[in-house]
Amino acid sequence: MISKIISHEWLQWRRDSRLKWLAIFLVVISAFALWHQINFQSTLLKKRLKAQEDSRQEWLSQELKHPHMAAHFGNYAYKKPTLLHCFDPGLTIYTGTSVYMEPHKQNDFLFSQSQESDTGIRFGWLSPAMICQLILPLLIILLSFNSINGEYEKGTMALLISQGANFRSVLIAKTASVFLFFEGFITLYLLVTAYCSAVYLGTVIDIYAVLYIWIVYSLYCFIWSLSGVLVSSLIKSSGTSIALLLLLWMFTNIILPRGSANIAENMHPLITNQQFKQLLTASIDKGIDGHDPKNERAKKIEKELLLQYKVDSVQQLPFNFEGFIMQQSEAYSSKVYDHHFNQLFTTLKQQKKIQSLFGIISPYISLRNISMAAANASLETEIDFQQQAEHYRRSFVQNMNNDMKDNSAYGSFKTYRVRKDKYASIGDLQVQNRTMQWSIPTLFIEHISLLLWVLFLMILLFISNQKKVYN
Amino acid sequence: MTVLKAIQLSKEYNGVAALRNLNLEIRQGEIFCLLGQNGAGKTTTINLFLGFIAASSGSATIHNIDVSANNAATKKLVAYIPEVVQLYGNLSGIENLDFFSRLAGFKYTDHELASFLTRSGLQTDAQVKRLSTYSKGMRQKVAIAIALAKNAAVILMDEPTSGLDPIAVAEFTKICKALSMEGKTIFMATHDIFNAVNMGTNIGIMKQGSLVHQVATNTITANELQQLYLETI
Amino acid sequence: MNIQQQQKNNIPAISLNTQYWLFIKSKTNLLLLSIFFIAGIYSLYQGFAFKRKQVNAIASFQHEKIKKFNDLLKGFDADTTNKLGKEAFAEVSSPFKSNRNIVLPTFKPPVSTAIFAIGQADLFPYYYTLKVESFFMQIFKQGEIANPLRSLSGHFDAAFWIIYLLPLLLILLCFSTLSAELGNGNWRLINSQGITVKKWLNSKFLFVGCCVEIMIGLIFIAALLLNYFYFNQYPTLNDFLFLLGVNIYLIFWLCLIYMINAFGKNTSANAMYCGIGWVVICVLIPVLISMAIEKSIPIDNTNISRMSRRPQGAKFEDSSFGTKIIRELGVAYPINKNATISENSPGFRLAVYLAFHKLLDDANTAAVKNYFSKIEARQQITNISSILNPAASMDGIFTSLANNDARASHDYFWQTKHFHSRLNDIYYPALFFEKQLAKSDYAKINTFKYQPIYNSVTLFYSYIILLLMSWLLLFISNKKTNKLN
Repeated sequence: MISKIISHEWLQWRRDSRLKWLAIFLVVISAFALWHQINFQSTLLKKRLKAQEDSRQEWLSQELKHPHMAAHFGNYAYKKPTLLHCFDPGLTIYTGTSVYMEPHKQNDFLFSQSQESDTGIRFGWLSPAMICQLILPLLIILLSFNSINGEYEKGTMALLISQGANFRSVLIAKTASVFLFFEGFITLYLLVTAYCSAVYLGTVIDIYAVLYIWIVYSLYCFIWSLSGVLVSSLIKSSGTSIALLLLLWMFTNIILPRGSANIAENMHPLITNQQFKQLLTASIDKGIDGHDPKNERAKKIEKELLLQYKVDSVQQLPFNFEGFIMQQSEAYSSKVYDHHFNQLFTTLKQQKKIQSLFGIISPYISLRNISMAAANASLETEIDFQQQAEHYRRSFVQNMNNDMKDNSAYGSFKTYRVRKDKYASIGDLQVQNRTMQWSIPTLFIEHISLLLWVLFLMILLFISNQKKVYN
Repeated sequence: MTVLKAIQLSKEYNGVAALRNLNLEIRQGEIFCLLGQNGAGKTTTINLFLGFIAASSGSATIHNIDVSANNAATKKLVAYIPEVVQLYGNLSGIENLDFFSRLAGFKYTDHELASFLTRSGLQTDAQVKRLSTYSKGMRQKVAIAIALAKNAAVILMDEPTSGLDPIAVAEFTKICKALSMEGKTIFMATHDIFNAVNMGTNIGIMKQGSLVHQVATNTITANELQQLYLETI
Repeated sequence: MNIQQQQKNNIPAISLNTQYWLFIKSKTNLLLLSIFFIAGIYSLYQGFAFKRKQVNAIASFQHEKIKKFNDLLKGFDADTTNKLGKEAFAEVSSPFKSNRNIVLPTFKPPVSTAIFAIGQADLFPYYYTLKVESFFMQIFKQGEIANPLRSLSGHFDAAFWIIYLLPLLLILLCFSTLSAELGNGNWRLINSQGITVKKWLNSKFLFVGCCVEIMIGLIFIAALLLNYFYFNQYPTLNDFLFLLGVNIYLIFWLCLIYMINAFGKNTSANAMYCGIGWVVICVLIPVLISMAIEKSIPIDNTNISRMSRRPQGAKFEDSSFGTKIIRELGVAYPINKNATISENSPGFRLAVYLAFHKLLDDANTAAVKNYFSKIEARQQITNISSILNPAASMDGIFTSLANNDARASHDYFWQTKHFHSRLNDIYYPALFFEKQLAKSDYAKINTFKYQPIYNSVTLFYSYIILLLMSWLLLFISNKKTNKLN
């Protein structure tokens, strides 16, 4: 019976010219989004690889100089797109794309894509993920809003029931016909996207991430299909049901994501750069706890060293004291940066948690977060990237300071030069892209809320009874 | 005095004639009942007098004012009672009446509004209840009150008694007769032959867009009319 | 029965009074209005909170930097007979020390209209610290801490409320103005009372328009009061241009929904058309046009990002290179043409280094201008695209009226650069003519005064286009409704 209703439904769709136009629209806009993303990301990759290479060449070809000066010449880190950015660029559009790495300070990531765009970017960024997250539910609504009440309006429901179908199996069949149709689309679209991105970006497909994305998007598609059919069965008039479903879509997919981000910002406001810099300066000058002033720290180190090496002055130490002090102050400032950046990241993570909790009422938010994480473009992966870059900065600056400490004499700042092979011995930043498994623990709330949605709708399906509405 | 007049009135929909050369004159105080099968042209005739649709040829006049030429003026002269009276479920009977009266440009006191509803046969306690709690017959009464409040010379009715129980039909008939006595002209489309004879002063029978018979009720019995009707269609 | 007839023959349409009466009978309508009004107040709060954050950050920043600067200036009055006083005097007056010590703030305070539209303000820095050295080198390292989560989702500011939510409210209140009456069979009764489709629609839309206008008016007045009492800002022309834009945008939506009502066959078709219309105008078109703009105006920031690298090398030790650089600076800036500094002077290497910075900045200016002009061109296309892209175009215009777009931010950037030049005008002569900096030199710097950018006249173009489009929609609808009774 269910399969018969499904095939009957599909036959009706095939004969409806409006649906043909909708299908053409979906295919065209999906292809367009995919083409745009692949084009954008592959150009970006080329640009960034070139920029990174140029920066590397500049580093290698600098003349021999004092290691600390060489460290001040600095290095650049450019974010490079990964395979699934073609599917979902997520936060990468809004975060900085490059950072200048130099001694003593952790610079911010600057030059975000959104800074270079017009205000139109606030309306969304065309990508396959956007099609699946925003447009697909709309089409599901258009196909399901009158699936049940339409049958009543046409008077065919009574006929269906009199032919032996029970109300619940009609609901299941109607849901299945919508779901399977779009599930086919999602499967195909995801495969094409993964394949094309792998070809154009020249990377390997992360099978697990693709599979995971497929499962989550399927769940999302199921949630909307079932919601559409259930609303259609609970509301007598098809005019009201479409109005309600569209309102629901606008609420969960446009208003709530924005509202939740703003409420999260109100609850856990992010400090300004000005305040951040003040905190950093204060911590470096007075100690992280405020009781360890800078000059006393240096004196303490000096005293300890003199005691340890049993010498009278720093000049008698077996290494360059200036290099050592630089290392120590670098290490201390790193501690300070870690402390304050962690606080900053904590604020962002708290904000994200609030947003994730809103996912309980908006499956879109849950899906969006999961999708970004799977595509390596979530808050956590962005923070991780920043930390990797920072880790690199420290190791490269320390490396240069070590050279100064171990190989140069005290007071030889103006005369000492690094060896010729020193620059090449400092490797370029190799960013490690995180796997899907790495992100999963950060998505606990999202998983739970998507499952709760499915559970809630299934319960509604199984308690639904035509008599409640139509008698 | 002739109130409603149709001269060679015709209406076509995509080349198919719904009404052919209707000639009709209805005088003040008459209750004219139009009989005929579904699709015979009864509703089309009413719609043409109301000005809902434009005639393909010929003219419909009310008090010698052409409907199509001066629809705003003729609308003031007619009231309309549809077959299905929905009105606003979230408003009471008295509020519905008030709203529709305002639309027509009248402002009545609550007392006046209540008196219209009472005249149309609606119980006083029902008048303040919401329309969603009303039966079909009660909603019909509100529609009559709307017509009364408009103080229109002509009342056009489209199958007003369909779906009403016999008691409601009897009440409805009584009110129509009373209105006729007051000098109102009533033009109604109906399927109810017996009620037409009982209530009407004149009866027309339509077939495929043409008025084929026109008889006065005092010259015919219900059985004879039924016979004539069956023979006609 | 004696009926007291009070018919007023001159009533052209169903009065607002009657529509009001019918409107308030529905609890849903009142609930919708309240929810949207609360959302409006919340959106105003967001704009206010953002503006307050900026104002506070600027105040604290300015206070900190100016205090340090004033402390530096105290060196002029120091007692130079003792060591500390001598040092303090050297810190401020010696060109070898003051180059590091002069740190000046510039800032872009939010304008009055910024309370309505945050726009791109969360992405661009609104305060800079300036030193004597290369402008681009120091400036491209300074950014505001971005909140990518909020950037991704967008601001819930008054502009959002107007661009997205008010059309939604209009749709919910009006989408079935006619079709609902047709569907439930009341239409014929209404029509038989002498009300035509046009009268019915006009009165409903006029009424809903007035309701929404009152909401906007209240929010607008609240914003002006907040500006006055909290930020000490008087209303500006831009505030009213914003209000004008809001009204034009609303008129456009009212006309669009009016047309859907005039042509729509039934309630579900109307809901579908309105829903699709909203999605197309507020999501699809902006996204597609944004994409097309990105494609047609490609931007590469690699070179710009590289400008933060500090110039280095043995060349700065080379006196012939140094002499050449100083000569070049003299050609570019005749004021330094007869510089007395020579390779034997103690400040020679510093002078060469800073001259190099100055020349490097000049060489880079064109690239930065080009980079910025591309970003501004993207915005400009969005702002004038109202014929295709009303929502994003109005959003762009609101952002530009609020002085929170890329153009305003770039303008602030150039104002900062100008201020930097003024600082250099004081400092460079001292260095190149081997003089000490005097109190009077510092007095010439003054403090940075931000000038909001002028409006682009293109906003009127977009306003007029949108009005013409609304008129066209109304014209087409009237053609249709004139045929209906």
